[in-house]
Amino acid sequence: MKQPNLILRLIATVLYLFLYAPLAVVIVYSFNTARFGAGWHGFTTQWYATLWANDQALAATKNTLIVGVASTVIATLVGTLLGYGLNRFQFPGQRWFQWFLYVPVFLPDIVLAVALLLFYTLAQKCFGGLERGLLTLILAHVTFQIPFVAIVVRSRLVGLDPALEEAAGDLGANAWQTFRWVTLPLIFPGVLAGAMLAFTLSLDDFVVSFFTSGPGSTTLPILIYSSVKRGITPDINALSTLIVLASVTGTLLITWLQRSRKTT
Amino acid sequence: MQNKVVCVPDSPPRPASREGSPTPAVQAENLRRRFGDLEALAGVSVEIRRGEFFSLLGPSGCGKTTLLRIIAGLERPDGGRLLLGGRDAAEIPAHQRPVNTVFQSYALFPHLRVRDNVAFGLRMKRVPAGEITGRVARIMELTQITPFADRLPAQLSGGQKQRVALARALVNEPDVLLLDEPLGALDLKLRQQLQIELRQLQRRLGITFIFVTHDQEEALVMSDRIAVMNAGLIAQMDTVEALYEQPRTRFAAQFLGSCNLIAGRVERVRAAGHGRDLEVMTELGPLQVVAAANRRMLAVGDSITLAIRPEKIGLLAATAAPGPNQIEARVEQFNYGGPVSHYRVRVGGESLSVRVHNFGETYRVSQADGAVRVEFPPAALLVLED
Repeated sequence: MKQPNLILRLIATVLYLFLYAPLAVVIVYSFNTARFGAGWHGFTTQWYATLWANDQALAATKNTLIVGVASTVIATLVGTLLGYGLNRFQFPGQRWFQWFLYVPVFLPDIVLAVALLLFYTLAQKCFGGLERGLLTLILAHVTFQIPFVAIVVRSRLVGLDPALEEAAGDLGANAWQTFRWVTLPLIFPGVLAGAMLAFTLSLDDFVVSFFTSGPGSTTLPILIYSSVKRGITPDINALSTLIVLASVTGTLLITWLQRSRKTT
Repeated sequence: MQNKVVCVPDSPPRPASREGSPTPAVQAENLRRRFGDLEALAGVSVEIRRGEFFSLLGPSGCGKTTLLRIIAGLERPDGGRLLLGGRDAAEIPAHQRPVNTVFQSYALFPHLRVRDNVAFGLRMKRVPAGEITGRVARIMELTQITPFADRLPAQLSGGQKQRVALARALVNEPDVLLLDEPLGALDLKLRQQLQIELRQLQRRLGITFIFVTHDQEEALVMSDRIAVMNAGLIAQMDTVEALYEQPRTRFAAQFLGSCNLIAGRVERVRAAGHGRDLEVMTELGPLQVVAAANRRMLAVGDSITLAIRPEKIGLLAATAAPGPNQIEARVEQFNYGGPVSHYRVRVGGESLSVRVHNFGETYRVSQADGAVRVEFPPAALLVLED
């Protein structure tokens, strides 16, 4: 392997600083004694204790997890089936269906958010019952998660030898058995990646959540946003630090899972 | 040993017993299949007997794989009829046919160990677990893959993968085993070894094998009967011996083994006990030909093509005593080849290929100037139909 020269190393260092310095600041300041201002007044973990006693923050965390898990499960199921169907069957208008799968990915969140708000308001007027709350939030998240899951799963299916499914059929497996015992295990890394992507998207979504949540269904991003309006406080830094920690742990876990899957 | 493998009491009853049944394993009637502009099958009829080793031989694109896939149920014919053990195959979906396939790419399930790959078919058919263990163990022993039972396909060599693919198909005890160029990816030594093993296995199990290959030597070594296919049609279907000794068309003559073709015109026809004696005027000179009685009618003046295998042409020293059907020739090229040496000789305006077996000094017959005499035994000259 070639050793990078000095200039390349310098560029790389600056790049990583650019990426991680802001995060480092948040983490450092979550341990700062000072309640206001940028000065460093000493080390403390009191903000984490404050956070633990903050009912609003706990409720928002709970909401975020409920919405994240529920929407990810639904979107992964539906998105996987969609990706499978688009890849494995031929039907009129297939190309259009595939093309329309990409549109929500490129659509600005704010457009989708306004559209969903309008749609849920109308639906509530016509049918009643669709109060803005956790349910609308979950449905809204599923809406933007599905294309991502379907695209990831489909790309995995493209690389799959069609002879494997033929072999399963040849050995007596019906369509469901073929999917369950051959296709699904082979595309599972793709399904898992799609689910992780969907979950991450749900966790940090602000725009769509802001428009489609109700009073009782505040999520972490919305909570942070409304707190920051009153000034950045150390407990928000503490909360952000915890979220960073959770993300890093999650990423490591997935990497480890995939590696252990490969070596066995 | 083989009885244990073939006859398991719990296996579903078959419509007819495998041996001595008059119902063919596979009957195809005028099968047609088109892919866009390409006519992969242009009306193929074939009858494959039970317990037979049947090869579909032809160049790539001749339709042999399409025919195999239709029998497996992986492809639907546009027209014609297919019977499996006397039953109309149109009613039987792929996963219920008493047919299993060894795929060209092996198509082993990469996420399953060898043992689980082999057990796959039985599990899908919900065979009791205890029976699966026994049947899988026996077939792995038979195909010599027991030492790799716990490996993943990625950890196997080409030859080992091939055996696993074979075991995975055979463990289901199919009436018919389809093999789609299963040896194509292996090197020559291994291929020859597996050819013999496959043939022995087929004899032992008594299962009908339908073997697709473009390798004529492979087909010759292994098959009971061969269908030579070309451009979506069966050019000739016969026993290995008949196909080699009595090819009917240019395609069959040149695809299976090599063949010298000589154009000529019939000068005289005389009926004889075993067929007809012909005198044919060729570019090499007049030749006596014994034509088989079952071949097409010939009349004086007909233009015909004669075929003769390189090893059936006699090569004599120019000084030898002259005889009938002998013509003066000149050696153009000589390649010493150990057991069989290869000559190219020029006779008249034609260049012929001659193979000479190495006994005594006879592989080296030509004088320094290359003058020889070639002899065409009248019965070795075949009259082709096209």
